[in-house]
Amino acid sequence: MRIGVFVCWCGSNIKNTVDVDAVTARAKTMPQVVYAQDVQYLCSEVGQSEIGQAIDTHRLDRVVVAACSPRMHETTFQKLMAAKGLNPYYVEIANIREHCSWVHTDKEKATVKAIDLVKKAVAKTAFAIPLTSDQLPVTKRALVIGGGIAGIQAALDIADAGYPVDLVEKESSIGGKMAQFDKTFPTLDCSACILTPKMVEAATHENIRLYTYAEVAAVSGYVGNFNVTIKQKATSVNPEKCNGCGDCVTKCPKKVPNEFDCGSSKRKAVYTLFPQAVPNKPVIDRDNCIYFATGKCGLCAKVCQTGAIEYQQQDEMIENQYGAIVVATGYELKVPDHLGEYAYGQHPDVITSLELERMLNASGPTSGKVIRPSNGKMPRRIVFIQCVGSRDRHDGNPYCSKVCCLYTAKHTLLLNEKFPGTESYVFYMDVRTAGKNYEEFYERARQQGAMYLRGQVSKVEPLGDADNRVLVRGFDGSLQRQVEIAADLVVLATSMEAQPNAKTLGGMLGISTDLNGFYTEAHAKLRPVETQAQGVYLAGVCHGPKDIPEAVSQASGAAVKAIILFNKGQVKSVPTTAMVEKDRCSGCMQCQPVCPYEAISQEMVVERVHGKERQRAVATVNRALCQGCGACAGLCRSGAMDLGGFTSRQLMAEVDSL
Amino acid sequence: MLSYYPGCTVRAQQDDGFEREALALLASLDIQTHELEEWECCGAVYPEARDEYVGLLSSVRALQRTWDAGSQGMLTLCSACFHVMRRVNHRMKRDEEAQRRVGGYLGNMYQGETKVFHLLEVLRDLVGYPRIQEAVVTPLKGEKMACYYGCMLLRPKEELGLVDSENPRLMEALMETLGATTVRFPYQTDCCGAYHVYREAPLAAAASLKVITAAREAGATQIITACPLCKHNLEACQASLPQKERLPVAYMTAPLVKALGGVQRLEQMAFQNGEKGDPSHAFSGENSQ
Repeated sequence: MRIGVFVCWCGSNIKNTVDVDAVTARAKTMPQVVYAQDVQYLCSEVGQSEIGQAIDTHRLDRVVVAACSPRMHETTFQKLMAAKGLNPYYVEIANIREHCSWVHTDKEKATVKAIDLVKKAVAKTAFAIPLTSDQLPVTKRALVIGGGIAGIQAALDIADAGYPVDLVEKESSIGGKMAQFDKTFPTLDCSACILTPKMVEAATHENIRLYTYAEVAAVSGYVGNFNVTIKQKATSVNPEKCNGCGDCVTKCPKKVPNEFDCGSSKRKAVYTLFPQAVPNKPVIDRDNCIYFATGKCGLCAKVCQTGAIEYQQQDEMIENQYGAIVVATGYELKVPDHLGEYAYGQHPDVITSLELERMLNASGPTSGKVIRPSNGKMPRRIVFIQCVGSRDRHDGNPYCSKVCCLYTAKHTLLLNEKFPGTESYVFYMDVRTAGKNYEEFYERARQQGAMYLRGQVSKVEPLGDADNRVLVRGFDGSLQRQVEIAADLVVLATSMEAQPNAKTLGGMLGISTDLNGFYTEAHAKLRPVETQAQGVYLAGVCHGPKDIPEAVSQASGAAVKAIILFNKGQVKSVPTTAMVEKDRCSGCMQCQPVCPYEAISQEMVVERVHGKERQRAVATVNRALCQGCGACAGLCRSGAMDLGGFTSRQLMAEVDSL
Repeated sequence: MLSYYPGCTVRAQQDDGFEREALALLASLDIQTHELEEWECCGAVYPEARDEYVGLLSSVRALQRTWDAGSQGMLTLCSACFHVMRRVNHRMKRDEEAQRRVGGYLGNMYQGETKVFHLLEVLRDLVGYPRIQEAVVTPLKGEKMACYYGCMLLRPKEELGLVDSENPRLMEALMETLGATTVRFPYQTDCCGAYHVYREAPLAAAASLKVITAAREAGATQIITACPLCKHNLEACQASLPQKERLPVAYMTAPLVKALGGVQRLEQMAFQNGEKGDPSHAFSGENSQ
């Protein structure tokens, strides 16, 4: 065995903290090392050719690279090995940057540690075994979870590329939050006018299959071959028979708060989410339906002329295979009642921005009129409060919700246009307008009379006067003074939050959530739509607060990632899979239940013992399914299970070397 | 049984009836109280300095005595006493250094075991509003109460935790039990000006007058409080107003006692209650006279 060691300076990143000459000199004395060299940048072309030449000149068969994290350049060096006709897993990386130079300041001690890290890698590579991967077929069908604008866009893009897509939406219609909006910034396009064509396109696209009123219940498998169980909730309305006449909705006697209008209007127990709903077929909300509670009523079935009402419908579990999954599950808005100082829920004229948005919407609870919920009259003076529950480490979320500055500017503009004479005051911490044409839009809002006060509101209190107004008390940083405004309406820009079940779904998909519950991307800068789970991509606000254009761009990005996968048609299997040493395996099968990928099964082997043949059960690993997590290897009592690239022998050699 | 901690102001100002009313009220509602022996001033202001422990001593001594007396907890009437006692107790529960230092001085090992009650809390949690409602003999019809909380009962909410510190509805609930209506008005949880009244009287007067004006504009016929200092400031700031523009200021016990039939009736009931069991010297205040 002939091992070569290459020590990288990484410019000054390593060299300033680690004595690379000393590490190289010391490496030369390590067992089976025949060559050692330090190079300024190993990842550069020069560095690569240095390694290549050394492999040729010194007939190296194993290489140790002391440089940055294997997450950065492992594949670079593996490719070089392959080009030199060596197994890619004959290169071992000693991470002397992230694990050493970047986290230490004492050069002497850091050098000692770097030498240890190299020593470990040398010991490990001496026992390396060649590993290979297989090409696995890809199921060329995508699943998009969430039917908001991001999900719709991703589905349309994948479908347009010619691949079938299933779009799963938990509500009875696609459209998401954008369907609730009135206008969109910075162009003041009507939200429905730009969204509904896309909804219709998604519904009618030959490659898209909609599952509305449905949720993802279980996910297994891996990139290219996911098995997903979709729970189709019973709608109690047969979509084939229903002609969407709406008679059932008219006749239904049960009224409940309408979530689509943030509870400010009523809907029936049988309902369509909104007038332009896609599909435009009602569903029965069984939790609120009188028939389901008492067995009486049944009015909707009586009036339905096509006999579409089917009370006996059951939830259905549908199992499908997919090659890629796009997660576009969106967000929820924080209900600001935990911030008592804003009196939300204490006074009817303190509302959220989305409630105002619904009022502004022509199909909303007030048909486009803005009123004070307390008395139905038009508000003359409106106070907007920004960052309610956002940028608030103490009582809210630490992050910026990103869209509030702009939609508040939009609200002031719309109010000014629709109801001239309305006074709009905006309390803000900072106005953040990073986006194309956003600053201009904000400027326009100010020019048209919106009064911006830089400062936070300390208290919103009912004034108790004849008009039942609300006193907003805050600090104006520009005047350096306390200010008080008696307002008719207070609008809170509440924080965008991750879906409450984000973590559960993430667990099923094998993707993680950050501190705030949003899904984590594979790399903050360079892989913003991918996740740690191959074949699972992110789109929209489930990944963090975004406005519509950003969500749409990311959705197209996620779609392209899925399309690339489908175009390739194959995925490389993981080479570092588990391996069973059948002679040692006792067949206890403890490894089987711990395997998250269902890759382990039992097989019978025939042995000769004392001249007699006998059959014995042992474990076996399906290499196509195994993702190399190592749970089985850690658990195996007889030491029969090993993980390629991390065999027990290699790990023991590492430990022994120190 | 509750150990009653009067505090200096309540005792010194006992002619205003706060103490007599509160104790008669509780006794009539079968809450036994016993005045804590050898109590001292709570310090009046919670000592914010983290490295100074002397300010904690008198409060801890009273808390320890309450614990030693084996009573259910300490009863306070004054908002400031409640504030200081509750916060000191909160700190003694968590701050090991304070436990060690204070303990070393007092020769004990107090770790915040005592429960500190404000009168309002006793009425809410130990008596209960239904019980009070039963006891009402003259419902307060026509009264529009402005309930003023000030600072001491509410903040910091993490340490006091008496009631929602931004939208407290504690006194309101009590007054509505008596048949009175309550008004919502701004500045309900603002500072009255507190001790500024001694050095910066106009400042305190402005702060208090804001409260009074807001309450009156909201239609209040009287304003109630649980704090001697708030009461003082709310009254003092109105001194220059013509009589008919003044808003009567009362302790929260006054409307309670009125609705329950007057202090003499309550004392009589309490005396009869006492006959049955051990007669407590609940409303005598004899210890420090």
